[in-house]
Amino acid sequence: MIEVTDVTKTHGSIVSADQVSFIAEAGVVTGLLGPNGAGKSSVMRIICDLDHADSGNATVCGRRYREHPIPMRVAGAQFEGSGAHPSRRAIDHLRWIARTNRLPEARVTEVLKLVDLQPRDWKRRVTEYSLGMQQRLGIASALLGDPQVVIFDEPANGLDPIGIQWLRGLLTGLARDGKTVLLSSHLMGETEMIADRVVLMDRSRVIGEGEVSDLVEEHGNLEKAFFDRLEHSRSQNSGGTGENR
Amino acid sequence: MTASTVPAPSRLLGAFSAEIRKARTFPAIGRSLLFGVIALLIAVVFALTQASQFLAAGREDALGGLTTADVVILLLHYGQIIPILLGAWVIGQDNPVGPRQSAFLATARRGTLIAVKLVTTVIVALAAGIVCVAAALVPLAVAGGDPSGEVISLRPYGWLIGYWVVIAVVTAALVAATRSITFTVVPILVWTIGLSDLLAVQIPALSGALDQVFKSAYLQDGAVPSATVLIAAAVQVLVVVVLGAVSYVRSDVR
Repeated sequence: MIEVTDVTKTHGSIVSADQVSFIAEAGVVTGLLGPNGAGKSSVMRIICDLDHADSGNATVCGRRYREHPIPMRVAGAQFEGSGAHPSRRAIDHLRWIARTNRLPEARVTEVLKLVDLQPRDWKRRVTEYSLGMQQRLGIASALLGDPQVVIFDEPANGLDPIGIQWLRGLLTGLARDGKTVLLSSHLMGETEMIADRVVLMDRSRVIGEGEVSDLVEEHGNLEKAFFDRLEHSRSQNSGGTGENR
Repeated sequence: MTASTVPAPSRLLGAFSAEIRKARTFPAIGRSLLFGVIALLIAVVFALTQASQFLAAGREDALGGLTTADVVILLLHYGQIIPILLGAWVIGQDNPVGPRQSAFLATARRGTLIAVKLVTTVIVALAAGIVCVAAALVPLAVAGGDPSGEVISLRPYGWLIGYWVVIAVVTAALVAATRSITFTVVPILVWTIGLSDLLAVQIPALSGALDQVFKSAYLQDGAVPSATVLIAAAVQVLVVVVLGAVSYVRSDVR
């Protein structure tokens, strides 16, 4: 489970998360949905201790990410592409990560097969990879520790239609296995198909959350639900508190 | 063994073993060392050939009072670009946002990560120092020693290897602080290979600068600097390492 409580983060005068709170439960795909710059990635980086929150708390399975003795066995995350240095071979990238978390080397080939990267590509340098292959490598590194919690930042970026369909199956399968799945996206239709629950964000704030099925029933589709909440939130803000960016 | 029962030394060993593997599989590190060794070998063979020709022609004055062994040490002094690059690569390979995120996700305790990286820098620079000194001395050994007949002392080479290790660690720590290889390596090279000598002549206090301390030791036949000077050099290293470590631990990924 991921628990985010009143997380606030500023970079100079820019607020990237403003009192953000939500819970992502095990066995459920939770979507963080919002336009570019809404603060989705910032919140995800704070959950993984990549960025430091100014205030508030974000825990994974009851502890801060960095407080877990072997964090990748608890949570796996993928942000923007492969996360590998372009000049390193894909298999070497996964092997050093496996060593840091005392994972068996056999797990490296397992996840490479799982994300459907062909053996002939394993020893290629990441710079030679297409965007979709890099995305698959990033997903492989997130799954390396067979973690209870998986966090994906815009995982569909760069994937072709076959890849997107594969991703859908992967994420829903992980949730079916009882894992906590948190993904960010600005693609409403895609999120509607994958997520069980969504947290809607705009201008660094949570503007709404709920079960996808309830929101679709109430508004017709997820996109309509998002824009209704967006309009409501912005009209409230322009009436009083002003914009936070 | 569950995650919560893995002892700290085992985790540290895992992080260290991963970092060594990372350094070994990063092409720029191997290439920097390979090209460095080749360049040194060519330069030493050239110097040795020239010296032999001058001596055979009875033109000892053309060597400017230097023995061939002195020239080898001087070439290795300029070879410090090798440990500077290696130190920069060990930390700098994680400078782009993606690799940096991967490093911090894999070893979430950043204090552990920077400590492991600095130890890796020591090992890589030590190995490079030994390999390069050996490569530079091989042509001399093959030629049967210094053509001028001087006995070659190995003490200066010990100081030189020590300096290579220290300058690599300083570079690595500064890359951790600046997050830029270019804005670290260029100023360090400008200082160590150019400005330092020029300014030390004008400002005597600069003879206590880290590079000057080691340089005077390895260029003066391994003369041991005073304890005060060595402590001052250690303080300089410590300040840079603390600066790098604090910046590395506290900064956001972007």
